[in-house]
Amino acid sequence: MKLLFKPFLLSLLLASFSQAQTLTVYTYQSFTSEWGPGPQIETLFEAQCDCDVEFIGLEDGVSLLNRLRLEGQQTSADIVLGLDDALIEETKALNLLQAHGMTFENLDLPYAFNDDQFVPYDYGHFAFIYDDQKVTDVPSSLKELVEDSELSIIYQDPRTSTPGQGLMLWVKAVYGDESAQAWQQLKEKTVTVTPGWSEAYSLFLEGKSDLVLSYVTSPAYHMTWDETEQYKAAEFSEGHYVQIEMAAALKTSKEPELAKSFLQFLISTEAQAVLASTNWMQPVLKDAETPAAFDKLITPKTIYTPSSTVYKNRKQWLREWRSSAS
Amino acid sequence: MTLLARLTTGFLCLTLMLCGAGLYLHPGIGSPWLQYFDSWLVSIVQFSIWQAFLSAFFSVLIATPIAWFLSRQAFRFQWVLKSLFNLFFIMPTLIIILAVVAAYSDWINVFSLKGILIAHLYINGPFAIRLIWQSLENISQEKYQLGRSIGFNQKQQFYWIELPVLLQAIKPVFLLIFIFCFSSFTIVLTLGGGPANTNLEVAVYQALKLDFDPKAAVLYALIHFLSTASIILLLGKRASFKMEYERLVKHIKPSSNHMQRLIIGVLLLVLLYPVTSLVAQAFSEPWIGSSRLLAALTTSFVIALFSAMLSILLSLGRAFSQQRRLNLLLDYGLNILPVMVITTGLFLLVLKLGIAFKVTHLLIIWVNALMTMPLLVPMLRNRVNVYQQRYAVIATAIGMPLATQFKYIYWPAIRGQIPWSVALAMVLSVGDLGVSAMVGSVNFVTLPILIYQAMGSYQMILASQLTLLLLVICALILLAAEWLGERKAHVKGR
Repeated sequence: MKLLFKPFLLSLLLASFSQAQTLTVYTYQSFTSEWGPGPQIETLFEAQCDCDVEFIGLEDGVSLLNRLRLEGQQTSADIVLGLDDALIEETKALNLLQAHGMTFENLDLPYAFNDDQFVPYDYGHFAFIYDDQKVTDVPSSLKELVEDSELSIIYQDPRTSTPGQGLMLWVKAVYGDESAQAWQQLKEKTVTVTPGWSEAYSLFLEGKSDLVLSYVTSPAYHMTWDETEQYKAAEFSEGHYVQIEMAAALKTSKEPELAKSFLQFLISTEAQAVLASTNWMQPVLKDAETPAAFDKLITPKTIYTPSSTVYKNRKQWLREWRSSAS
Repeated sequence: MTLLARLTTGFLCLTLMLCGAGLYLHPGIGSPWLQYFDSWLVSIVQFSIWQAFLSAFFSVLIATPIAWFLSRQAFRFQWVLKSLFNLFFIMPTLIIILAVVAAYSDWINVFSLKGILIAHLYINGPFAIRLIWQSLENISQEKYQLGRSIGFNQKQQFYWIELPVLLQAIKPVFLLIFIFCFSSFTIVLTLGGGPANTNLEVAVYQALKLDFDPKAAVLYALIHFLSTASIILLLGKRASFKMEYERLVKHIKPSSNHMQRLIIGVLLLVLLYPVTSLVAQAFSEPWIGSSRLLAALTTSFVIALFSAMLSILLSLGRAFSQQRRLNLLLDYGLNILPVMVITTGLFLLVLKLGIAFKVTHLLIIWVNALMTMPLLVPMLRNRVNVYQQRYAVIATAIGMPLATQFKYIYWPAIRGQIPWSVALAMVLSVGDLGVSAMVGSVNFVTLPILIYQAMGSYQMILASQLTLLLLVICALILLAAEWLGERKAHVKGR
């Protein structure tokens, strides 16, 4: 009995002991994967902070909000990384975050943005990606995709994933009160709805669908690593919904200063270069280094919804999606 | 013994009360009640019923002819086949899921209703064959002799002797499987692939984990509870779960006929194909591993061990309890209360108290122990009852103290059952995803959670490697139980 208890207690002890010097970052799965920015960001920051950065990957961005709501004051996170501009108001209403005390003059964002708790670290326009070796009649607008196209799609669950939520807001921006009908039409083309971006994109690359919801910047990855231009983003005439990804520090953090310096590090020159070339998103720092392939990407019109509007309506819009897409 | 029985009764009542309190006192975030009665609710209830119906229907449809052919003639090693069937029923569902994904994802989209049905068939098909086969075996030889003596041919024998038994057996088997699949969580969660395939259990989980809407969780849990309760009422009496290895075979005729051999061959092929695909996928790349594997294994093992011990204690308490009304009601409640409802109630309570993530281990051990009880209680109770009838009067008459009674009468009776019971409880607990995924914080990992996360990030090879590890662990636990059980038997024999 004693013998059995020991490793149990030991592991508890170790857990509580190591927490003292660790910076725990809740983020989304693709950020922490070996080809994502996580490992490099970790190495770079650990070299200057003399601390241990621990990334914990959830399904996707919206899960971060759900988690914070569930764990509240008991959360062990010091940083949440991967919420987006749409969720700012709702997250701040939980009253769990601390002010970062930074200014963003040197940043270049898709629209004017300022916040005292959230730090933007990259952004991107959502887009449907296709393989031009396989797909020819690419829709040129969201309406064409929804109403006329026969291509199959995979997208992410708006309840867990920020791209999925982006599509929900995109449809709302284009269709307004007729969104429910649009979702019903989309449902016919939907192969599957995944909890996060990683699964959706993997399934697409395996050939399970013609289109996948991702980012305008995604083709740059294939140009850089696979040396192919066959993957392209479909440009839609209504404009593309934009997402600014954010990080924030928690009030309950035992390492508030360390957390702040991590947020500062995120918009440093070195971190920004890593984010552009591993997270495959546009950097926010004005003269950040980007992969050469970024020059070949489409530059679409921007659509976005203020986060206060999202906060007011999100629950109801989610319900609408849930009922019409099922 | 009486003390243990009373403590168990108290513990169970406490659990139900706390669970009820949790559901009632939920952290009241959410919309007005009426808003939840929307088309979404209708669609998840519809899906729950339809999915469970299809799963049960196909299981019985496939199982009935197979069971009939297998029952034609007793054959050597049929206990091996029966044990295999049992294994499919108690094997962690994650193993089945990964195996089905590895085996069938090239042919069909397994992340759909089809995938859910295939996975359910793998679990419940063998179970159904086993139960129907058993009831056919129980037809007395006299009946057949009588049939032969009045000149029944094969067809008449089937119509007058076997068909009534089959029809009688099919209904409870169908309903049992219907209930299992109605309460299916892990399979629907992992293979659902989108909002269209959501059942009540997954909806409870999503309400808590995706929307943090405790009110919705309470509502879905209650609807789930009421529906299972009413289905069980249809079943009439308590369903019997028989999960012991059966080695005693009556009337061994050491040969099987051609048809049987063919069927057994095909059956083995179909049953083992996904498992071999899983193994092949796991070995297709060198061991990937995970930095959190050790933590996950330790947590899983500790939880499994403690919940098995708690479960044995509670089950013994139940086995010794007198069949009074309260106790009957409790046993009944345990059988029909879906695990997720208990989990939700308790979790909401600790959330309300603000200690939810400090008591994670305790909560999981608690719920897992309750989850395995319905399987353990009948096994232990049968033995206890036999000995009670035989010796209780005498023992009381000669004034034997309870402790002595336990030592000399009951312990020898149940001793042989203990290793197998512990193993069963451990296997069920070590493979559990639902409870730990529901109540664990983000950095809480068990082996099943690690597998689910690997699957979630579409690292299927890592997932299958970890699943293979889970399979090996379960096999080791069961083998250890077999070995310990055997050894005890030898000691007794000497």
